[in-house]
Amino acid sequence: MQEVTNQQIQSCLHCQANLLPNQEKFCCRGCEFVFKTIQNLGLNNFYQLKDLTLKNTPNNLEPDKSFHYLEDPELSAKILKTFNHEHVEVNFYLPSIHCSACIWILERLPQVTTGIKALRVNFSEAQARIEYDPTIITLPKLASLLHSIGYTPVPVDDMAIKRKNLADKRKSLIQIGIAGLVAVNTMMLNDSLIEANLSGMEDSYRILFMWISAILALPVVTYCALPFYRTAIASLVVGTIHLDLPISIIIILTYLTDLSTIISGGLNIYLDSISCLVFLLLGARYLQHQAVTKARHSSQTAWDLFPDQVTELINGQTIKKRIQELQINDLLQVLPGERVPADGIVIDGESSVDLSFLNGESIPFKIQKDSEVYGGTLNLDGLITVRILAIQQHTRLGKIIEQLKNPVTEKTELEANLDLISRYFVIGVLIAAILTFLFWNFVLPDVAWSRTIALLVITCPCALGLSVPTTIAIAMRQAHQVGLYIKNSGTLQILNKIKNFYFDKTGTLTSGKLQVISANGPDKYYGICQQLACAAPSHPIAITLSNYLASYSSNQLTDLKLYPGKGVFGKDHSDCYFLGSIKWFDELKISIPIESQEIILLNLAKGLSISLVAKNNNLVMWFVLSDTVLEDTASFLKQLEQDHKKISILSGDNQKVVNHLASSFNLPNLIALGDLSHDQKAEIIKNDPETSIMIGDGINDASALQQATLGIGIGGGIEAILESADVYVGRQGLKGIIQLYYIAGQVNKVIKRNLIFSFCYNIIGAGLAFSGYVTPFIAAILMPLSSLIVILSASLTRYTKS
Amino acid sequence: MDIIYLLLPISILLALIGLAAYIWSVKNGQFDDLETPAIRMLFDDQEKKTKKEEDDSSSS
Repeated sequence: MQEVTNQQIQSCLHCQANLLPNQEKFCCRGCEFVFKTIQNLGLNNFYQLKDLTLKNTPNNLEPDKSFHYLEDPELSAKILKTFNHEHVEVNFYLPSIHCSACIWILERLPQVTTGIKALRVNFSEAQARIEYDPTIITLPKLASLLHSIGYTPVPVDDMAIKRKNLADKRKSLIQIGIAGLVAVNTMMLNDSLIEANLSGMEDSYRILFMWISAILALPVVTYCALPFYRTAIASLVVGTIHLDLPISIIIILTYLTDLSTIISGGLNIYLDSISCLVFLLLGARYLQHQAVTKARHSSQTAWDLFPDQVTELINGQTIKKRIQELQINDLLQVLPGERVPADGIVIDGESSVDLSFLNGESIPFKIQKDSEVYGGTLNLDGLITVRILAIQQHTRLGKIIEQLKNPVTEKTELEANLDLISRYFVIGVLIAAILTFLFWNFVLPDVAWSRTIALLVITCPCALGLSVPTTIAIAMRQAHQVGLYIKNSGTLQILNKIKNFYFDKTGTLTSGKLQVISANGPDKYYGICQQLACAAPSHPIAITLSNYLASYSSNQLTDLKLYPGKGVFGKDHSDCYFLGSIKWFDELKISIPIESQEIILLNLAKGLSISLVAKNNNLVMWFVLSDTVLEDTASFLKQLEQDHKKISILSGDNQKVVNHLASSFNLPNLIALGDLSHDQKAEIIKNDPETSIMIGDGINDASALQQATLGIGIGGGIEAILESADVYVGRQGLKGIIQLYYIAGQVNKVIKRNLIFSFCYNIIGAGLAFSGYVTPFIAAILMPLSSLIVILSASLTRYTKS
Repeated sequence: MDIIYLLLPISILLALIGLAAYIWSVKNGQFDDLETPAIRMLFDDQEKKTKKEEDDSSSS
């Protein structure tokens, strides 16, 4: 490490970065602030672990002005739960909770801060429940405390809904608990009854046991089974049949018949069967509900990209307000490090923004006056003033989120069909039950009732109804976790059935991270090239060029215009400049000198890409770029070939370059088409009679993505997910597609497996019950067990590829 | 066999006590979050140490 001369501290007390001569203890104000805050909270341990001595005097923490909005009485009423004037509870959503150390530091707060009585973190929901004393610490002060240690709080204002969900969850847990207890006890009593019937037991005991069973089962029939009755009645009201109907009928009918059996001195009762049935069914549904809720939760986290409070500029004065109060045409100030709260246009200031979540591009995008900015993007280095043009759901990010929310609720074709099938199935079961009863009542009246119950119980099509939605919900959740955004859940079911696969080349099959091999031409044009390249921030070649020439940046050009799939045009006074593909230059009739032509052709044959620059009608520069094929590309294409898919490469690049790439994969049936404009790509796909999938760049191939049965946008397209594509794979590129293909394969496998299982189960079960091989008790265990198997088989499967 | 008349109510009573405890724990929110407690229990040792060190530093 660096030498330490005299007693002067040479590294920052907080981050240990080297200090400049004019700095005393901290390298920046940020470190100083964090240091003091950590000290104020008495969390010195942090530095002791880093072997640093502390010589700083703590000072009192002032509430950050920005959290004054929390004092708004309307908001407080929504988010606070008041026990008495010294005891208030608030729930904060802390998006930055991400690891177990976060729990540690947050739950330490009550010990080190007076006024905070208790703090509990819910890790999976990234929320903290805080009980505090408002006479000691005010809500804004509490919020700024959390903010200062890096957990900016967002008040949870849908608490009413949350409390209801929580209450529902607790209620179903209690119902499951009661049903379980009753099931076990009635089973025990019934066992002794069966023994008693064989060995002979005094009638008084038998009647006692029966009555105890009946009393125990009463809460199950009246309270625990309520959810089934409710759906059954609701479905009858709207005129359809739900699978809860036969369940309700079984429960009520069995209970009433058993009561009459007890009164009339009969021998066989089935109270243990129905208790067990209710218990296991409730349990299975609880598990399924949890899985689906979790899946839904994961698609809403993107809202975190919006800041909670914004700085409005009114007559030169800044005022903080909540994002919900934002209106179109408001003027907002966005500081460096803040996220832009809504879509708008920059009216003052210069900065660069991180657009990575929208286009997958990690290189900052420069903005200046009149540039458009999008809600959720991170402002990196300058203060900008923005006029708001669209807010909330109407922003680009908002629309993406809205579309991502739909898939879980939207039913796919297969699900709709299954609903229909299970409806007919229910009717079939009811008819079969009546026939069984009539048949056995005529042949062998003693067993008629028990066989009917067994049949009704065992054939309940629960497994059938649960299998598809559970599988889809869990697969979607796992897909979210690996960064795939699927607009329509049906995608997962149709992907594997699609026959023709179309790929874009640059950035899809290849890495898209090109390297400039040579720049041929006088360097006085470098600045112009750089500015032209910047005008196409989504095209991989343009990005490469603008980075390559970053040090030559200029802004002498005006009237910059992007021709998608062709190139960029710009004007310097009377001179026109063009940067683009060979094909575009042919169209523009810009001639290429013969000596350059030869070298260019040679490079093309080697599979290298060429970008040309012209001033007016003369070629002044050309760039040679190389691109590397992604390592997974070849094996993925091979797999597609094995699955009998027809693969085509559609590229705007030169035909020779595309041929070179295609031959490197060594697949005889691969079709390679180059020199295509994006309209031609769309045309090819449109004329394809088979189902097709297009995988390409979100912006440049938008029309082709739309024409395909299924369009998949690879990072680089905001519009990709909004309009043209069904799936957005962010910055993962082909890796995301491979993952998606795998997930779709897994989903189909699991659905098929589950459907086959539940059909076989129902048919075999019905036969066994009819012929009396299955008693009602065994049926009551088998039926929920089949649902459980389906749910477990869906939720234990790993859909994603590691 | 008359002992049954005593044993049955006792066993049912025991079951009801268990049920009451379960219902209490559910209403108390012990089943609301099953993920965090699993992580939280790992901090216990560290917590005591921190507290002790804090006492030391505050007394000095």
